[in-house]
Amino acid sequence: MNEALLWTGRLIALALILQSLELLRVKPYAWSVVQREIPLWLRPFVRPYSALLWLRLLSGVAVLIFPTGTLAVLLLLTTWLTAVRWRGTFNGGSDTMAVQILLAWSVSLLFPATQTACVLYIALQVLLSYVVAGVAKLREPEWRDGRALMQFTAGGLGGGSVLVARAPALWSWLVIAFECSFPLALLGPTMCLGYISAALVFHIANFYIFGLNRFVFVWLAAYPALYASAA
Amino acid sequence: MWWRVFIPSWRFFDRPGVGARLWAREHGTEEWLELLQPPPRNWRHLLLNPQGNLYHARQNLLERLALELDPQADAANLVSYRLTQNLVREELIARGCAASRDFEFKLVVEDEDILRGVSQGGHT
Repeated sequence: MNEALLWTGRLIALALILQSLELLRVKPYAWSVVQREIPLWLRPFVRPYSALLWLRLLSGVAVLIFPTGTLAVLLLLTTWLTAVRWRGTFNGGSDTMAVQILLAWSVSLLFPATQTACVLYIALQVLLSYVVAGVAKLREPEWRDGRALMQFTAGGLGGGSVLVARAPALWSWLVIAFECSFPLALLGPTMCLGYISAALVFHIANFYIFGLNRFVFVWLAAYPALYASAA
Repeated sequence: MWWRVFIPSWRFFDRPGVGARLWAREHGTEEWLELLQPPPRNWRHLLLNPQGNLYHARQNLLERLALELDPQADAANLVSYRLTQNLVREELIARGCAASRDFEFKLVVEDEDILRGVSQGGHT
């Protein structure tokens, strides 16, 4: 298998193992309430929530040893059904990115001729995740003058708000510039490694300030595909 | 929203949310308690952060409830409202309130009460 996809598979499996362990320690929304939003045909698959999490956990472990198309599809299905139980997503963008990666990875395992296209798809999604976010911020006056970042960090922990409060506009523009310029990562392997390193610092800072740990591991799983595309 | 996770939306943190906050109290008491507070964390939570992620999911629930409120419709019919009722009950019971009591709650946005509700004893 393509080496980038091999690493993507291992890393997304690791991310999903951690997510399953997290969710096993959290009480889900009451089934009697959320089932109203779930189509009848889907309810039997979403209802056995703990079984879904255990199945995903075991599939994740198995994928680390034997990465097969069947196991990849199982990871995709259990991740989707778990998200449905949480009304679409549990943790927003990290669930969405995990599904995008799993979709491409499953297709690459089931249809090996598509491997290059699947690597490019994952790279495209990870690029878009930064560029779209950056452009959306650039269009907001509150981001350009630093007020939005102040508001976001004020709701977080870890002293991020103190750091941002010293120069909110500067930090805002650093975030906007980093996100909007992310396509430069495709200029070559060295540039790509630079952007991946900066992105890791960015995601760890987001964990430090907001507690968003899931983004670190899910995005990490996409970087091998990004690097392969740049190389 | 069973298909939502398949549709990428990468507009992270583009605008601050409405900043909905949830307050509650036992029926018949005076003091309101703010229910959702970010849990403490340290570096080991980088690997596993169940309570931190649950806090974000609950905060998203409140934001969604605030956006779904329609003056022309009964809020009690909303799934978000029912889940918030359950959240109020779970949080107050976790703080030592008796499960048999009725609870009142309010959703506050920019210092204004946009919703008041009741979670009845024994209801889940």
